[in-house]
Amino acid sequence: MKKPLLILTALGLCSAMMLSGCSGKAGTTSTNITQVKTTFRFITANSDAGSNKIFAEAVATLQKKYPNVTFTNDSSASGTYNDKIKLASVSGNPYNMIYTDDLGLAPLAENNDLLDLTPYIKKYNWINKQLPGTTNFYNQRYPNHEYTVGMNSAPLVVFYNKTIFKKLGLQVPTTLAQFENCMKVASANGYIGLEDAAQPQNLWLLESLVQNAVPLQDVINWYYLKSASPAFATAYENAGTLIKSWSDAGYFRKNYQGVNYGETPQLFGQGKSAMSFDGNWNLSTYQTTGVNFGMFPLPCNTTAGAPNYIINPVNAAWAISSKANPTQVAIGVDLINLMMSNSYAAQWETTGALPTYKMTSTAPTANQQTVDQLTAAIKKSKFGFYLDNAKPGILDLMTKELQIVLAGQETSKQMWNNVNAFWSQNY
Amino acid sequence: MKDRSKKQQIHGNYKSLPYAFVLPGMILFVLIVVLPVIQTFVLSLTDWDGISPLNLHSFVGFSNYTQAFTTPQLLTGLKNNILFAIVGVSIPIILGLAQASVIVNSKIKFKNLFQIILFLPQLLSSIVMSIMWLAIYDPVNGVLNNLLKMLGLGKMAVPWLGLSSTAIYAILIIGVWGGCGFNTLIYCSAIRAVDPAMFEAATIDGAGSLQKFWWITIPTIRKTTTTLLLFSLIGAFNQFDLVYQMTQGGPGYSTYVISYDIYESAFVGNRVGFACAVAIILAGLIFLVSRVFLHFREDE
Amino acid sequence: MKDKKTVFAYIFLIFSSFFTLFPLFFMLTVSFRSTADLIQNGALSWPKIWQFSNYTTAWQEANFSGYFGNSVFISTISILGVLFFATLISYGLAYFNFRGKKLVNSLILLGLIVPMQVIIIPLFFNYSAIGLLGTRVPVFITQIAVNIPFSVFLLRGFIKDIPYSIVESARMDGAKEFTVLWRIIVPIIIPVLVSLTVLIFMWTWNDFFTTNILINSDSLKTLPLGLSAFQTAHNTNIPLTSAASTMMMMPILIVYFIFQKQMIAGMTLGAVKE
Repeated sequence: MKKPLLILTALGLCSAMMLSGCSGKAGTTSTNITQVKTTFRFITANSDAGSNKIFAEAVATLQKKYPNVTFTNDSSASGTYNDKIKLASVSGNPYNMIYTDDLGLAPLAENNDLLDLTPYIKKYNWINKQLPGTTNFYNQRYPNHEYTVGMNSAPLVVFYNKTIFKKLGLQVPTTLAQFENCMKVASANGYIGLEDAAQPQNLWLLESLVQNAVPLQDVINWYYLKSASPAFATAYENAGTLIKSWSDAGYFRKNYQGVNYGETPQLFGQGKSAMSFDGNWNLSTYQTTGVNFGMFPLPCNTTAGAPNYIINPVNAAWAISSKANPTQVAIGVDLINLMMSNSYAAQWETTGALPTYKMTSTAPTANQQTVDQLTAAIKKSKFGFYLDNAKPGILDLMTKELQIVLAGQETSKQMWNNVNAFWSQNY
Repeated sequence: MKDRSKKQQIHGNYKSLPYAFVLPGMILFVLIVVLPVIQTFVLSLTDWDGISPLNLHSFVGFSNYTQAFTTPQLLTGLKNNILFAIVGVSIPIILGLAQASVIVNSKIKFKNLFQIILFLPQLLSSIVMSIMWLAIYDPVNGVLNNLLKMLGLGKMAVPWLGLSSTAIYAILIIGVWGGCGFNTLIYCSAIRAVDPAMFEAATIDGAGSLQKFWWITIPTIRKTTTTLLLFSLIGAFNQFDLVYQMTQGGPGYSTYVISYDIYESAFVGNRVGFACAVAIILAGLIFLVSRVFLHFREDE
Repeated sequence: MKDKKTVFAYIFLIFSSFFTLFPLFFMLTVSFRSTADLIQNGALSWPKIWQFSNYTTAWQEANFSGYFGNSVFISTISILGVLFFATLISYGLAYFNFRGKKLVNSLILLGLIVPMQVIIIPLFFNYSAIGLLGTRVPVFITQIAVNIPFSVFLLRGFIKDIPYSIVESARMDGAKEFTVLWRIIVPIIIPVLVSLTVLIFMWTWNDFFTTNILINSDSLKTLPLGLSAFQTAHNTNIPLTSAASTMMMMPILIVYFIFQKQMIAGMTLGAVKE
């Protein structure tokens, strides 16, 4: 029986080694054959109708300049885009251009799958065409390299029911204490203070609170996996404790732990909730509920007038594959240049995204009024992070640990210890 | 013995012909099933993330295993799998046996109809089941809570999938609901196959129907029971679909199962080496359980 | 006068049937309602308006025909592949002695126990290394390989009961082995083959885990995957998702009602005889 076992083990080792061949090295696109007929495959994190229209238009424009190129847009349902990107990269046939979030880009950059875009950023002056901090947002992770060009932001805001606020004599809160008071008064009068679900709003609340309780540099160090300061640890624990106190005080809907996040706008639409903490991507859904609502940034500052960081990260960024041939690189650069324009920024606005391009025209778009409201609302706030994008897998951990704290099954300190342990691992 | 004479007879000069029959399928099987098991084991000794190149530096020995056993995900997953293995296996078997014996032994009409109805859940894909039961368990619009409120039991209307104390049991119920029908079906045929002569003899001896059931039926269908138990046990350790579709391991880690930990670690967390270690632990568990089982079966 | 036992039997079985059917029945009624109706009047009320349009909307939105086609394709090829290989292997194990027979037997037994979760990770990377991941090929190859052990298990039990004299006389007449297999054995084992067909159809049709990992692009999705994506996109629209589920349930239900007897026969053969 020994011989078959040896053979099997040898086979196993060989094949395990074979797996290594399939990542990164193999599949170098031979540029000789593809000179006449090139393909340009790109993938984005957006698959809604509005975004598809924008991309189709961009492709049509580019097709005129590059008639021999076949363009494919592989964008798919939300959640699976990073899987596809990973897959393509691993199997040696990466996408020429990618538009996705930090979580999807980081592993590729670490594996040298992305082209350093510094020369183009300089040449076309992209940094100055966008709101300050946009281009740098993801690139802070890679000192001395600029792999990505950010575009559009996705802020989180508090939607509030104007009718209920008026009835209860509440003003738009500008400090944390005032915000808590709004919830308190609302729930004391039979309304739901804050529309909440099993996930992710509580984690967003925690992240907002943390980012306003420590110096920005501490947040940056934690987010880019450099260091975790004691102040950050304390802030994280305190945030957990605070949210638990809100849950215990009954500010959230009864049985919120079983509510599905997707139901939030609908439930807010029933008119019994004073506020709801949600993202700008749901703006149109809230509009269809028929509730007279307004928006304000979540005030996590403790003193009136102090800077308030809201989670408003750069939504996604463009990156070009390091294995793209010169034509494909040129197309990619052209695509980014196309997007950096008033017309495209205006189109992005209609899909509900907040353009980071510094728009100079004021032609109103369909969504203009609400988007204007949103922009005005968050004007004084500063860009913050989705802390759960720090590394793959940490979102699940942070969400679940917070759920355990809210259920009263562990202390906030234990939660921090578990999160920190995962964060510290080399994986 | 029939077997021995068969062996003598088929021992002919068939040089390489047998291999023509057996090899094609077996090669496919080895490539797709056996080889990956070995690969999983080898990978479990690395810290590969699925993206960067795999080389000798990736080897980290058994640290993935020691790490796995200290994480709440695996430990809770293990506990939940064992819960499934005990409760989620025994109840469907007992219910299945009860339903089958009632169908076979009683004088009711529509026996076939009942059999068909009870088997229906087996036909459903896990995703259909999860959609169905999500609508039932929904805390705001769901059937269960609405029913409880109607009956005046509003206090019991909790978020079934949102509380760590109830979530795993909520999923367990779905497992039992879905798994019963298979056992009922198999037991129906098994009970029908029991030699009626034994029953006649027992009746003559004055045995009541309950005694006949206990002393004749159950021992005779012992082989069926052990087969069903084996398949159910393996299924209990393989639970993935319902958890993935309904709770994603939450709330907290209360509905984690080992398979979900494997999926989450490998395909979301990019920790392929670690996931493989958990997979090998799962394989080891199943192997152990089956060995114990098959040992019981041999003792017949 | 019905005796107590029969009454009890009826009560027990009707009760069990009710619990079994209720979720299905509920889903059916919900699929004909509108979301507004559901929220306003609660989950248990009888629909006032019957919204049949849920089905047409779901059909259009869910790319049903595409998913259906993929499911049919994968299930059909899997069935053919399994029947082909398993029959060959069972015949070989039953009527030949050869070196390595014991190994084959052990591997088959092991194959019954190994769960998908243990092999899916390297399988995924193996397929991607060969470049097969953008196709449906990995799915049916995997389904075939994974279903071989159970099929051999089932067929072996059945073939054991065929009297050897039939094969013996054919062999003595100088018949080639493949002829014996095709003309003598296969006709006899047709009942088991039919049951196997239905079983494997059911398993491959409803499979979620394996297909979910091996298929990524929307155009290649099978019905369970399509329904899962549909649910993620419309998870608050319970009537719409219920309509989609009901539609996707139909094919397997229809097959079941047609082939009931064979399915039952096939499953009991394996569990009772072996």
